[in-house]
Amino acid sequence: MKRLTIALLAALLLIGSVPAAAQWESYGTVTDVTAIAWLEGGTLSVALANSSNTRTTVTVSTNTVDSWGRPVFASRQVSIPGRTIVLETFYPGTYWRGELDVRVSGGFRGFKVPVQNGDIFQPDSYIVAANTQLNVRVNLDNLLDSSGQTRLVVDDYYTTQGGAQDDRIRIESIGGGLTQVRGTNTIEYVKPYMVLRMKTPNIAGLTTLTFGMRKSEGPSNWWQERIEGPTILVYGRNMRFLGTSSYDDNSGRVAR
Amino acid sequence: MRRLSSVQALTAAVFIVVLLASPAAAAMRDGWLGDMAVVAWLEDSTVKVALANGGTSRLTVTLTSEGWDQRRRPFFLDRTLVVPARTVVIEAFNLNSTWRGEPVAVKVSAWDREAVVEVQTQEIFSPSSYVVRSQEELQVFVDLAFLAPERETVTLVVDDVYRGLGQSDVGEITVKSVEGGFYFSPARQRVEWIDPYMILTMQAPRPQREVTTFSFSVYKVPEDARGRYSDQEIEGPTILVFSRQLAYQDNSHLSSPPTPAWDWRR
Repeated sequence: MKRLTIALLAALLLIGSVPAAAQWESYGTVTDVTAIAWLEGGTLSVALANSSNTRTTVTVSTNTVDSWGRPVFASRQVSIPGRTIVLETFYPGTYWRGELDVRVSGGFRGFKVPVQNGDIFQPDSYIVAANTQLNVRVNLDNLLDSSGQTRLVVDDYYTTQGGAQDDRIRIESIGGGLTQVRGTNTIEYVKPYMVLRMKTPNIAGLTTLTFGMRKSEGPSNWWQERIEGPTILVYGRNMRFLGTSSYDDNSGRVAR
Repeated sequence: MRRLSSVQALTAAVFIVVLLASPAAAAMRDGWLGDMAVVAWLEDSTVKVALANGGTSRLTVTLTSEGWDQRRRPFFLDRTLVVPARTVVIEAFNLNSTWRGEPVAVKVSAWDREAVVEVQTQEIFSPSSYVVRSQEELQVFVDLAFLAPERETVTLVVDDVYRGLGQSDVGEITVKSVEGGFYFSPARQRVEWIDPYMILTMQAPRPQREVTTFSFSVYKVPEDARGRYSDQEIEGPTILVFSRQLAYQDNSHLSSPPTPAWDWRR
């Protein structure tokens, strides 16, 4: 009987810990801190948004190591004031391969933040104010396949974290490809691109916005590849964005 | 007379042997039998041959297939015809069913001379017509899909002018449009890829004689070439131009493939 009770308790503990473990690895908001990260050239930017009313401290770290087994950037503890977005910049070393891993942890909780690399989607900004226009440039060169029968269907609407205020995505322009140099008989290749335009949701607090598109190839549409778009941090009037932090301001960096 | 060195003599001998050994390889895109010009092109599986006799006397010629299929049979049957004086004649030949896309050439023989003409294909260049009257506008569709593998590293340069047989058979080439790439289809709400192409326009020259031919080239210029066109030339089509004094006689409909009999399945 005693063994059975212990087994049942262990099973209950396991069941109870599964959602917590999933949340640990999930991307999104944990303990009122939302984070997004993106890589531009050799610069890693991590935006940390604290939607609670109180100051909170988180640590930004990485499990990615360089060829000498050292983390590609030193972990950093950041104190974020209440209702504030802080942007932290890192310069990862060059000697690493594969996906860059970024983790944000505070207290006993933490989550992995996917790093957006801008290979395909290049938004005007990854942090935008609510109720403003957002343009996203899409690099179509990487999506072109050899069959010459590529079709792309962009999501009609973007989705937000709450899902309440989704708005339509418009194709503003498509350009590039083989073009004639004006006034000459010369044809040159300009990388094809598409500009998507959308209005960010009218919110007071904080949310994330994302969308995607489907790509199909060949004469039939039976196989479609889903390409996830960027994740944008949208803040309303109840939040403030401090911009890039530096050592002498109140961004919240804490010396270790 | 200076005596040839052994190396020079050997080079000359090899050159002559190469020329004699491969007449098909040496085929030109236009052939001349006196005053008569010949060009040939492929339309699906039909070879069309244009014979423009600018002379004042008729000419009897025999058209034969240069080369054989895998069973050593000619790609099409011989034909002898009389080309009237000051007349352009178009003849068509249906390639036999064993043709598998091999290069085809046509041998045109008169009693005293012969010429081998390469049959032009429309893989890259598709002119609105291979035979045009003097001063007529010609459009050439250029399929730019061939640039796809190296699109980011090369620039395509089209000749500013075409050049014909005569000194004055020169005319300007204009890039009318460059189209294709990604397009947004509002009706279907999707972005689609259309193979890129360009359209070149030019006005046919006024031939010095009654008949002439002209051609042009495009060049793939690598980004690091710095003005050197090197070996990246792509020869354009060869077009036959005839003066307005010549008659035009299209006989290609006379050799259309036979209609199967109604009971061909039995």
